[in-house]
Amino acid sequence: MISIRNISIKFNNEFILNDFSLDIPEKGAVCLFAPSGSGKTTILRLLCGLNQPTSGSVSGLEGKRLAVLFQENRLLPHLSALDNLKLVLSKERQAEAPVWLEKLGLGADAAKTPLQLSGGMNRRLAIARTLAYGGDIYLLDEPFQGLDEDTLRQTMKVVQDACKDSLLILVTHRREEAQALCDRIITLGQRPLQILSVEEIKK
Amino acid sequence: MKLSTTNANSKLTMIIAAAAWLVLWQLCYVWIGKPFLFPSPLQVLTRFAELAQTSLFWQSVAASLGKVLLAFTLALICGCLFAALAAAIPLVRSFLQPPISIIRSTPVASFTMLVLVWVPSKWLPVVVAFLMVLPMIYENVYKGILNTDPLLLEMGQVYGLSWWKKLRFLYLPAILPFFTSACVNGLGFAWKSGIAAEVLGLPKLAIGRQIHDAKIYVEIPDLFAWTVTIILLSMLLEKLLLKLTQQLNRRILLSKGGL
Repeated sequence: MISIRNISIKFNNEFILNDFSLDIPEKGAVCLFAPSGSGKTTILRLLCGLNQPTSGSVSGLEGKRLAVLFQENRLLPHLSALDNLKLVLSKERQAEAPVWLEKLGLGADAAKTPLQLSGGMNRRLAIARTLAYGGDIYLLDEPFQGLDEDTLRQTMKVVQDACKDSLLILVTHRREEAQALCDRIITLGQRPLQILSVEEIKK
Repeated sequence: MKLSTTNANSKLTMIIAAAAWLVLWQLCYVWIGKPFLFPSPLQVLTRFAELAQTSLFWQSVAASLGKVLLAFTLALICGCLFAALAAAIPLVRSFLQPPISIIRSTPVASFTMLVLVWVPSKWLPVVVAFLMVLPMIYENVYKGILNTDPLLLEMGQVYGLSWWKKLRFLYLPAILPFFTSACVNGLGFAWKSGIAAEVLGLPKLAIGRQIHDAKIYVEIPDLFAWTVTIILLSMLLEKLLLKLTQQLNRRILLSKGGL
């Protein structure tokens, strides 16, 4: 169990999280659902250690490998699609990179750089990098933005398959994505974030 | 095709501009009418050719060039090292800031005189050129490090990239444009300050020494010929350095070494 206990985080004198607590199981798919701009990304940043709380604690992440997909693609513009994947993989696992590109429909674009790819393709490349890196916990922040209907369905399927034995924490403001991928939707209110409801999805 | 035409046009423009200045020089020479005070372009060229046949010329060029390049290399190494330390440890930045600011705003002549008290004249150009170029390299590389995309650095952190991969793929591409401009400006500055230090410090074999002697003995064509030598060497060094930095850019941005 991952336990977020009495966390407070403040930016520019405004509380994003104030005495916030949340328990997340070790397996399954959990969605943090909230309107955009509410600060839900802060929870992901807290989990991957990029934001330090002013008070409170997080436990249950010790020894866990985290695979993070940021809201922005954060790809290296001068490296090819294939090399962007290889960059985050150890030497022994680099052979897996083309497989992930293929899975995300980018097999033919392996040699292209992000500047030569469309917005949707870059998003899929960022997803491929996260899935290729792999982990015990996948933290995906608005993963499907900019994808058209067809690629959205295929990409969701790949994500679902890749994360089935791990914990997936999805942050989104789109309900249909949450319902399609997750078995629990935690709806959060406006700043400072509070849990409004927890909904179990039956599949 | 279009690019090569543009290149040819700009080369032609440069040749025409250079020819126009030579004509202007010749006109000044005729107007002044004192060949020993203001020689013609042909006189200077002839003197340059004569000097180029002497061993003193090549020994002086080699000595000055060697010292300037040594100073520049040392400034490059120390500048990059100090910039990396300053970016990593804010206290180092605060500690280095006062001397860097003082060095940057001190004239070459004052520095040369101060250094001359402590350093033998042979090594004066090295110390002066080093001190003049160090702040340039330091400030530029420091700016380049700060210019590294913080979003990519966070990506590197969460994906656990090794320090080598971070340096090679995140920091170096960001630092490179700053480093290149620092190198080109720094080499020109090293050259100028090194020669200025030679003129004041008068080491035995040096271009600066020859300039000083030419001035003392009122050998104005020699003075012009040595100045032409400095300009030509400076242009040559700049071209070589540009080629080198272009290759470095290509290697760092396009090669996959380290993946």
